[in-house]
Amino acid sequence: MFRTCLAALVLSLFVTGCEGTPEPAKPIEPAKPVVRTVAIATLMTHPSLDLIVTSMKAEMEAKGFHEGETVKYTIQNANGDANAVVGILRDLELSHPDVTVAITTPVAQAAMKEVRGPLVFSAVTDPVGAGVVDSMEKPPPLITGVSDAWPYKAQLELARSLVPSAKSLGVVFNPGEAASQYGIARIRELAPPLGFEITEIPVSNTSEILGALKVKAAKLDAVFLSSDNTVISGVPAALSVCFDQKKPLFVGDSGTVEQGGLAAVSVGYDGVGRATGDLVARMLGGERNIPVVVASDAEVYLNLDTAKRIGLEIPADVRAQAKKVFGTP
Amino acid sequence: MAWLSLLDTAILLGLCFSGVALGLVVSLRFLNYPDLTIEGSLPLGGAVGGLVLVHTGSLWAALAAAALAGGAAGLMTACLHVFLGVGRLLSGILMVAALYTVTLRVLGGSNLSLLRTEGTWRQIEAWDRAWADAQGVMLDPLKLSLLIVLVGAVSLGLVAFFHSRPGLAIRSIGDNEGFVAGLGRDPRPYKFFALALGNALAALSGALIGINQGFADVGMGQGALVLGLAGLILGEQSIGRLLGGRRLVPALIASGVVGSVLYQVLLLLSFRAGVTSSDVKLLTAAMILVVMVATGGGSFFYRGRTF
Repeated sequence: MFRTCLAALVLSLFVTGCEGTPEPAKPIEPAKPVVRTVAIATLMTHPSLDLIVTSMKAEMEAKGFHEGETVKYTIQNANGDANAVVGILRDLELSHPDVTVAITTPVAQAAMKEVRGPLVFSAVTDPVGAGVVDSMEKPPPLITGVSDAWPYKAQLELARSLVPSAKSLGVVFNPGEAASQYGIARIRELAPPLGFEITEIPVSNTSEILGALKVKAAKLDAVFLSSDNTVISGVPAALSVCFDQKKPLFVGDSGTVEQGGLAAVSVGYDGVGRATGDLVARMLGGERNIPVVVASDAEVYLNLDTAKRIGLEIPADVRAQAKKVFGTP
Repeated sequence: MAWLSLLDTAILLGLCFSGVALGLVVSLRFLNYPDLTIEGSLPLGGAVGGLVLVHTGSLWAALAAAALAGGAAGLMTACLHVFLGVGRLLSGILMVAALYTVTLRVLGGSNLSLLRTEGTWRQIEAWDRAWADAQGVMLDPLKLSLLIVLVGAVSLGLVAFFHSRPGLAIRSIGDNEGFVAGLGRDPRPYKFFALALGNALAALSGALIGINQGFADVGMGQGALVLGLAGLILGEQSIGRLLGGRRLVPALIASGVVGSVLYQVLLLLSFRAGVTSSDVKLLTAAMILVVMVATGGGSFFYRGRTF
């Protein structure tokens, strides 16, 4: 018992000695070929989330952290079971990783309680709203991450360049969803400087979209769908109204553009992964107090058939930046 | 030290989840009613408890509200079964679907953050964290003590209740409903009460899980039933047997609590041993089967029972 106590005491001195968080970062010695450990906890397997891990590793590789040589990854996946998250994080934490990566909002939230060392979260849409950090610019010293919030600025700018004369922009959203509460606030802030007047079209379920949009569409120059699940599920209704009344429809995912939406700027998860890798590398290098990054790497999608149908010309420079163009030119 | 820390988390999580196993003891073992509603009342409890905690900061109000919400869900299931004649499994399945929407509405989205709440729980966590950091360990003594007291009190209450007359009536309905009806007792009010109680326990569990992990999520209920059942069966075959088997109320209640903890210990040990979390579900199912068959559980506990 005495020995245990002594060990605990020594350990505590050691831990408090080297983990005084507000201390300036210690430079690492590049001479020693130490293997750094990175623990990754994710909520489920899902093409976008898997891409984050792959791209993160690629970015680390580019920064000189070679898997198996200078960095070792431990990955745990909760397989969609939110209840397994706490156990997984505690298990990862017990191996004292140099950096923990928490992917998705629930994992990041649980990590706030379980992880004591450097933490990089990823794919958290609204880190402030989720309670993960209090400020995007000044997170706690050991915590930073990447938000995969919709690139509202790029989306509105694209709308501006495709319909230069448009004034009134209809925004369909569900006020009951957290993602669009965040989204509508951003749109209110970003749209007026670009010359848009917003007409808010709140809906509470998919079946309301058709009616609500039909009533208001005549007065609108363009329609924008927010990032909530209700609206995205009800996209066919918005598509049919916009087709009938020849209004350009701007969305945030490639799938809707393929179905007939005019254009989208969507989050590139490769970019989210690369930004995550960059933060992990900086944390491993001893950097602290890193502001939260909002993924800026956005992908543009266009549908030329729709453009023809509503009588709109897509400038060549916009077409050139598109990742994928649907329809025949 | 790592082992102690792992045990600490396992006990913490096990106690948080013990409400699910206790809910199963009430509905499945005492009333002999395979109540699937639990999979929906757990996230409902997490959502309601979380919402109340965010708005009032009171842990006790949050737990009470969660239990009430779970109880209401149980009453609805009983209504479907007793008044509308919906089958026992189907009434639960319908309620799980309905509760999904209710939970989404309560949360106001798919996820509610409980990281910025104030009040008792926050103070306890802060104290634990300060103590643990000073000692250089990862333990939560105060949080653990609170949970032990809380779960202990609930367990004692349950033992006392199932020895009382209404409790005995519920158990006899589980054994032989026709017999109870034949004695001139209407079994329906007891069914209402037992289902409400079982779901209140599960909802309480949901609130504790949410508050402990820092968020309430609409996906919390996924797999909760299997998890609770795994715990219950582990408990029945270990401490349950030790205390005298399923005819005894304290043995079954203890099975629920100890089994939940035991299951979490095994789960975390398997993570530690390098089992990836993707394989855990299959291992859990295999473990339930092995435990049941190896201990002759098929005939010892489950004769004439649904599962």
